[in-house]
Amino acid sequence: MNALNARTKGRLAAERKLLRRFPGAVIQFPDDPCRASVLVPLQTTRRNRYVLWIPLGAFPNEPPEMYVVEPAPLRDYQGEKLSNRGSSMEMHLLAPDAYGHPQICHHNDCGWTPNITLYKVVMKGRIWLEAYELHRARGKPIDRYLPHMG
Amino acid sequence: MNTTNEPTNLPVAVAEPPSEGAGDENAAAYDLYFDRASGKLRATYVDDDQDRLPATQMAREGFFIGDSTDESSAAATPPPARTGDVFNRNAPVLETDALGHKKVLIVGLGSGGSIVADSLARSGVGGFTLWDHDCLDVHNVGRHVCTLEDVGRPKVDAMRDRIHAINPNAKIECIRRDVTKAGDALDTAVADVDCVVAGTDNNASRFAINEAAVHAAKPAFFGRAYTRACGGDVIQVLPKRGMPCYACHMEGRIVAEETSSARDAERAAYADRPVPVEPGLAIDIWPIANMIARLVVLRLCVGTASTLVETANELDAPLYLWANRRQETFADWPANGTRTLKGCAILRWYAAGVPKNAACMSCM
Repeated sequence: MNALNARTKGRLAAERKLLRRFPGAVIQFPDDPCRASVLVPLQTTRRNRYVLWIPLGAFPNEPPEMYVVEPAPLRDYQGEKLSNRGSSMEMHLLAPDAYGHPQICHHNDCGWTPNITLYKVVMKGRIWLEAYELHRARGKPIDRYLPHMG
Repeated sequence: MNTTNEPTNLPVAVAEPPSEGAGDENAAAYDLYFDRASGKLRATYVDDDQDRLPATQMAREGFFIGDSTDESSAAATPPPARTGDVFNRNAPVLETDALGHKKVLIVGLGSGGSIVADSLARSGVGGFTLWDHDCLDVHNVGRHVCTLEDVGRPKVDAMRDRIHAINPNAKIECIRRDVTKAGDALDTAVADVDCVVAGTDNNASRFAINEAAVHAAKPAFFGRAYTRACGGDVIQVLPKRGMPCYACHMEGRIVAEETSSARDAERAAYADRPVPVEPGLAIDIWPIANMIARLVVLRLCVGTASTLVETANELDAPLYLWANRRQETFADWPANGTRTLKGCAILRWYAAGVPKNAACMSCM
């Protein structure tokens, strides 16, 4: 695989500046397209801590994948592993990774454009986490809350 | 359409040239014909036509260039023909010489891209870079210009042979890789051509092609079919001030595209919400691909003495919309619209203006 081209490197430099708004966020392996990813620690309004892992893949030309890697495993209202649901429309999940980390569905392929920043992707992750905590508290699917939070 | 139905990629049996008077090898020429008795393409030596290139010389000079790994097809030699003979019916409309030295990059050689490549070859375009990572599958054949004979072959190789069957003098480069992971290779390919055609079926590849074309200031053309190919559009990105790029077009505009393969369906589906494969028909794809080919030919004529330049200047809208049926996106269009020239009707092209996104990170 080729190295990132100059335009993508410039874009990542701009993204890095935006991500400073999330304390502790780092872009790992920025020069390696196979391993380039973002790690973002987040805290919800209920003061629970999570870590999102965002492998960049073909970003910004396609939406990057976004996984919740801490805490692990993430469990649903019934105490089941969230990753056992696989891809789920009502929980806004895509297929989990090989380690069972649930993947958040944050942008539809159809609605994605290269103008969407990693900052916005992380904000979508933050909103999903808030909806997830409502699901944990009340048992309704995440889709019940997300449309009111976007 | 080929009415002879005679295969063109058969082994060539070349007759030995006569020994006397054959001192100047460059003046030698061969007539090729299909020998029904032996089932082979044969060549006979003639010395009265210096325009023709000997079959052996054609092979030696590398008619097939590119990096495809299919050695068997790369070794085949296309029949030589004089370009003027092939394209003399085009001459009253299109000066063939105007396009013979032009080169087009076509990324994605599925149903749309293959039709564009075929049409451009028939229009006299002399140079191609064909880019696709996939092989031709049986289910592709219903909408592709290649046939069952090509199933299992890389699409770039099948299309290369198809173009050479139309114009043996075409210079063709083949690239087999995923365009979304091509890095600088895409920039290099774009820099080497006059026009870029995106015949791919996903936005990730289109955005990559768009960005490379915008930065190289090359005209780029994008074609899409909507759900079940009820219609589609052609997006034209020209390197001129104020013209929106493909990313500008997609800003805030969600288009329900055709789901033409299991791979597309899987990408869009959830475990609790499957997405069916719903491809359109070949007759639904042809108008869209044909419009792309038309716009490319017109754009290639700009800057030449061609009489088509005036038409090229007329067809410079960023978006062209086409409806095949009053379904899905076009369900609310009036019935019987084709019986009048007023209002929206199926089977007509509509040009549309699209504003440039001042904050677009792809073309700012």
